[in-house]
Amino acid sequence: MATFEDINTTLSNTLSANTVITTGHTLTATDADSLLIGGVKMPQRIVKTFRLTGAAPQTVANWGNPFFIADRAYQVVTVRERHTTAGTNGSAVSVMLTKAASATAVGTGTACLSAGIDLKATADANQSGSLNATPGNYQLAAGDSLFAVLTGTPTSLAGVCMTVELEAI
Amino acid sequence: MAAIYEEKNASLSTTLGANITLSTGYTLTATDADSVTIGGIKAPQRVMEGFALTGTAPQTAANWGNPFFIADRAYKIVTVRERHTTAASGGVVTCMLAKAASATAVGGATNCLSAGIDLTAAADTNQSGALSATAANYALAAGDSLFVVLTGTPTSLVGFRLSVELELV
Repeated sequence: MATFEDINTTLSNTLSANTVITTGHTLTATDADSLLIGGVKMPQRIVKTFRLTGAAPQTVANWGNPFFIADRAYQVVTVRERHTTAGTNGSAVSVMLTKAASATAVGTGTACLSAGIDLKATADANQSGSLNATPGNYQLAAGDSLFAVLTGTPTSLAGVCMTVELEAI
Repeated sequence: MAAIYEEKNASLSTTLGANITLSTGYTLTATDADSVTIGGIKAPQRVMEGFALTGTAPQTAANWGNPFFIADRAYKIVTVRERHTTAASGGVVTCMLAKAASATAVGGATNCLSAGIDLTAAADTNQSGALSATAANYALAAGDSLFVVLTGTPTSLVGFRLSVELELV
């Protein structure tokens, strides 16, 4: 073991046999994109997307439905939104990424973002959601669901896509 | 030192009973696909995204050409598969996978495939999209969106699904 440790600090290694890291131990790659499998970079995060096509965003009932149920603990890393036609209602129209545990209705969900994303903003341009200042608000336990919650009246709004990047915690 | 390590790895499986850290600037490459398992599960190498229009939703032209994915990082498309439950009838009806950067409308998007996928083809049968001959056409930068763009009149078309396999670049 001492020999192995010495060598790993100084040389590149090629392993021509199976290698097992025993339980309780970790393999940590310091750099992103530094694990390659079959010549392909190993993904570090997963992406889940909420989408309402065509005029579907104009129907209020299409909002506030779960679009992801966490299979394990995650935290939200980034949120991006884009729409093909902006909302035109005179009042504010926005979407909030919200989480709720099983048996908790969306109405009492927790806001993952510090503010809703403006659905009246320029069409076809990406917007980024700002994560809530409280990490617990954007961390998911296994079984938590994600929702896109509408505020306002989505007149004229069309083609909404909101992509959420998650990492395992 | 190196000779000892090399000999061991050339001929024997190795069990590492300690934490391993790969320093910055270095990579771990597994030559074969599916050759890295974590907790007994094969580590994913690619990301799946998709666009679906259920029931008769494909017959509404406005449901097409909306963003269904916003890239959180750079990717390239590896495979595209399509299937529908009832084929379109009538003339030529196809769909094209297209990409557009933020602030670029779908009308100015870039075709990712060399030809549209035939939506009048046999129902319930997978079709593969042929990638564009220009690699940049199916490479995504962070922030790029993906769209499915319809050509023709989707009379009778039902139950559409297009799956896109992405690889980190």
